[in-house]
Amino acid sequence: MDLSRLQQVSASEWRLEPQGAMLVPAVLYGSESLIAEMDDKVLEQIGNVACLPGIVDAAYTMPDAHWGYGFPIGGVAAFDPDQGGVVSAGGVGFDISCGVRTLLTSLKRADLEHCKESLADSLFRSIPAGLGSTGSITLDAIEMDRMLAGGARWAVAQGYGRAEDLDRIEEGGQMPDAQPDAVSERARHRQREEMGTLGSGNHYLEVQEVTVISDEAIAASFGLVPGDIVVAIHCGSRGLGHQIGTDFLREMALAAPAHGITLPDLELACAPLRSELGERYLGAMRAGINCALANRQILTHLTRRVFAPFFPEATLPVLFDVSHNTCKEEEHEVTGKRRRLFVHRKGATRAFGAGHPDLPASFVATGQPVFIGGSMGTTSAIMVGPAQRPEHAFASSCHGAGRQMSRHQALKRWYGRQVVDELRQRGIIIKSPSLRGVAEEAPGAYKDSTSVIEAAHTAGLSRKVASLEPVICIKG
Amino acid sequence: MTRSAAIEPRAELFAHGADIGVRGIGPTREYAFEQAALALSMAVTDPSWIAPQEAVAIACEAPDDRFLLLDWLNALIYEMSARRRYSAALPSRSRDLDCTARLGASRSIARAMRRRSSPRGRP
Repeated sequence: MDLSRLQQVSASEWRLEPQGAMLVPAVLYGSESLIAEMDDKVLEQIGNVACLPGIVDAAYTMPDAHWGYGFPIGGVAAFDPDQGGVVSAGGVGFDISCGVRTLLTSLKRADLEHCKESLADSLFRSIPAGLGSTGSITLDAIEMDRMLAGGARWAVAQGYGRAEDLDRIEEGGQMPDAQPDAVSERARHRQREEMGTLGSGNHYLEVQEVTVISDEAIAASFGLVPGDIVVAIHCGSRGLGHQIGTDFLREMALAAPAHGITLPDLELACAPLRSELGERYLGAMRAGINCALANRQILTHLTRRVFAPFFPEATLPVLFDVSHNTCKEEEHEVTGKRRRLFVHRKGATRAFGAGHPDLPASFVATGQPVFIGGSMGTTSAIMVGPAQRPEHAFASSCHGAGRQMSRHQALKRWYGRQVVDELRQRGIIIKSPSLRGVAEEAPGAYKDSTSVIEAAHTAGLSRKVASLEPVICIKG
Repeated sequence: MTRSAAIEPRAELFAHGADIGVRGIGPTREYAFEQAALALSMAVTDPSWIAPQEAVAIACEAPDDRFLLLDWLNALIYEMSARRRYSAALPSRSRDLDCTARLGASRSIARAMRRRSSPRGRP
């Protein structure tokens, strides 16, 4: 990215003042090297977001931002319904409510060594992964409606997991105001057999070791000490979310002229929040969030079943579950005034600060846990929302390392077998139904996750708590 | 030889920062759409591994070519997903707005699907 176009506000904040049709500035978070390495397309895309009607304050990118469809991945923008604000299917993305859930195990690395191979094999057999993977659950029309309305609460009621899990999920595991009847038959059909599956692409289930603690007090309150083993589950709303995104992106793009909206990019398709289409999308998107929450809840149950025969004492409680492809109605302070806004986070994690009233009681004193996923062979991180409020960027932080190379480029550079073998030499077991998928997701295709984590910390988006290294990765 | 006839139909993948780009090129829209579908398949697997197994009729209707291509590729993605034939679409010739696709499972994916489809007990 050409830095000369930006004004440097601090070591980790850069700004593009409004120009052309931009209604607000664009603010980019990241170190000089991270921003310089970003594709120019990121600036173009976040500049386009800044042109959308009703946008408030600024359009933001996180330190892991990269080129996306319409919105950059790692993009955050909030819209005011009273100011003609919009909701954008492209601003949420196709994998609605993709997110990360972390389970605690109370195990240490040494506990795993005698059974690491068997545990990896058992996880691979029991956790459906890969393109079009199906699970053992088939939903009929009635159960589909209940799942779309109930989210993880529905899953727990079906026997997948425990009631106490729900306190450790955003929205208590159930996104309110979902409209199952706004979800198309195509979306429902695609999801009938996909509950409790990881899917493909960058999704994974990873057994990780806590290697560094950066904030002992907060780590202790999260139940983390050095050497602990945790399980991270990264997946979303599978075929249902993709179909909702596909259906509404088309409908919003075609309806834009009738809504008086000029789209700077077709993939920024949007509709006024106060329109029939906008409200219908919100209802469908919330149902998609519930699908993702239910999916991660079922995967939690399956993971516990795998661990039980190996470690009968390990109950695998949920540390927290965060989503990073959403649009949520939240209250934020903007220039001293509290306003109800619809915050789009696409490839960005909510990072409520300490004291936020919407946090579960267990996190009010610390702030919200934020999970930064690595890439099979690289460091992941557990962070926490800011100590002070109001937070930056509508209480948002990054979600992963962020790609620095397209899948196409990665395929040209690596073979899947080579990646698996190299990681095995480092003691990391990779299990995947697709070696091609492994090559596409090679660790080298991503930015250095430690620089992204450091930049988020320095910018005050979230604070470092712990670093984790992969031990076993079930890759979709 | 006309200018359009000189264009050799071909399918291409290209780098796209968000994911992966697919491109179909041909002397007519029908050829180009066909090749775009083949490129979509190439994003999943090696087309030489694909064996046609089942013919599926797909009809798309859109206000312009841009949306028609979007609908055509999305329809293919839906059919692959709904029929659990994830490897590829081998399209036969497209005609006007009615497109016929042929779906098949590649050997590698078929193996994976067989392995993953072993009976599982209820969790």
